[in-house]
Amino acid sequence: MKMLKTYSFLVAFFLWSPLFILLYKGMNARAFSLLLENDALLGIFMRSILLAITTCIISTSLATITAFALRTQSSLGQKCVEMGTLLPMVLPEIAFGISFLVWFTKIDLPLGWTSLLLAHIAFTFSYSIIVMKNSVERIEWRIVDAAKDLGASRFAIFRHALFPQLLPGIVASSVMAFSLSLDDFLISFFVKGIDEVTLPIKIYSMMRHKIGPEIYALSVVLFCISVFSVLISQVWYLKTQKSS
Amino acid sequence: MDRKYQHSFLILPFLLWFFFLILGPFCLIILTSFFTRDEFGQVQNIFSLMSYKQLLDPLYFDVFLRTLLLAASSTLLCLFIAYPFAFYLSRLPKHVANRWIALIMIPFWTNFLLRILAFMDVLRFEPFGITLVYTNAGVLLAMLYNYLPFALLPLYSTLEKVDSSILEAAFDLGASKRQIFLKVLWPITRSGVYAAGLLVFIPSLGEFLIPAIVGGGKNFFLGTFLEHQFLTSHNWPLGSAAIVFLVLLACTLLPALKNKTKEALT
Repeated sequence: MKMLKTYSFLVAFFLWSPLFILLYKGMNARAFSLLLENDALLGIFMRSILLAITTCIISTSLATITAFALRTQSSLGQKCVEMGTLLPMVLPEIAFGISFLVWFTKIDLPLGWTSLLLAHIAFTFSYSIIVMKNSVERIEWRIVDAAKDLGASRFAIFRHALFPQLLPGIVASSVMAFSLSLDDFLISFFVKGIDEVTLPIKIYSMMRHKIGPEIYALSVVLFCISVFSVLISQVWYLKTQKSS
Repeated sequence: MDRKYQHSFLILPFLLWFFFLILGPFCLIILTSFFTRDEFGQVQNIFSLMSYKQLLDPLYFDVFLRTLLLAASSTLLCLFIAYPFAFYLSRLPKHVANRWIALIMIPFWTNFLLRILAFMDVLRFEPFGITLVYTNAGVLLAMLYNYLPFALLPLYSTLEKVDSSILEAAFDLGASKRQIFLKVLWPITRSGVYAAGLLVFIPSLGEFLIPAIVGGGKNFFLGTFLEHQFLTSHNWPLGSAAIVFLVLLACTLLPALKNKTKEALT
């Protein structure tokens, strides 16, 4: 057991080693001041954040609608939807990136912001559906019925009886769609077009030419964003566990 | 009764997504793979099996073999490294194991490209005086680094269900460590190992960034080959045929994954 413990620490260290390097190289004033001076990089960063936020709002809303629609479907219908949802998650990502490229070219959709948004919604939707389906399945309909019996308006029912129960799922789905969209390289790489660049693609092209210290500062920022978003969803999760 | 059908239009976004963004693009890829292209790289709507014939060309066939070899060796390496780790975690109290898993997952919340960038720095350390950057060994190590959690988590959930008392019984009856593994642990966890293996194998077939960056793009793998066909040399029919092949391969493996997961869970 002692040997296994040492072994496990070594493997964990192997998995952490690149992160140590990123944090070590990025945690200094010079890297951060270079990052703040690099307007082009910051601009791309902001556009990527905007894309991720738009993706997560649309994806989560559509997934919520789908999750409610699934309640009234037959079990065969539900199985089909489940298969359709899982398929994009298990097939290699590159197949999707390329099929979007061919499809968007065929239907004459100009490659750029719109094609990026559509592609990002397309691949985050599966994950959002799974989270929201789980969330809708756990709704306590007694609370909604009680509100109805007590004569609440439709809006009040939604606002006070339904929405609070959905909120943890909505937060979890949003966080997931946001980080998937912000991190995605492969799908964006094929549908980005000429003018539009997302952050991972910018990093990719910098890696092929020249990497400056500001990239390492940026990775510290990105690391903090991901830790923060995971914390948010964890806190929400614990909150629901406590209340139920 | 009518209440049940009143909301059926809510399924519309899902149907739109599935047919317009998943199925449509895939059907177009299948269609394109049967077309030809003219000298300007434009796809010509003339039926032909050219692309599939081209795929059998030794030049391209080597790409497939190399990809399969890389995917298979990454899978075996991941399973081999992850199994003892997962076994150690499975014998820990639940809350301690959960902390370990969080510890393993944290690095994976950071952007993949940045992690690969830093992993290149790790490979540059040259502790044994050999450089690993831009070599196949370096690519394999990067694959191990990226796909290890894909193997670790399913292996952990399989091993976690193994009762410690079975192992103790074997130990008390005088079984050696090797015998315990071969005669007790392996038969129980075999299907979980297959499932974990497929979860590494399928995505690693389409890996693009690791061969492109860590391998320096020297050797073509399926991912880099596809990028080249679609963005550089504009042979879309040939690239489409390769995607059809990739998806078919993944789809034949998927039912096995589903059954193995079911077995592993019961």
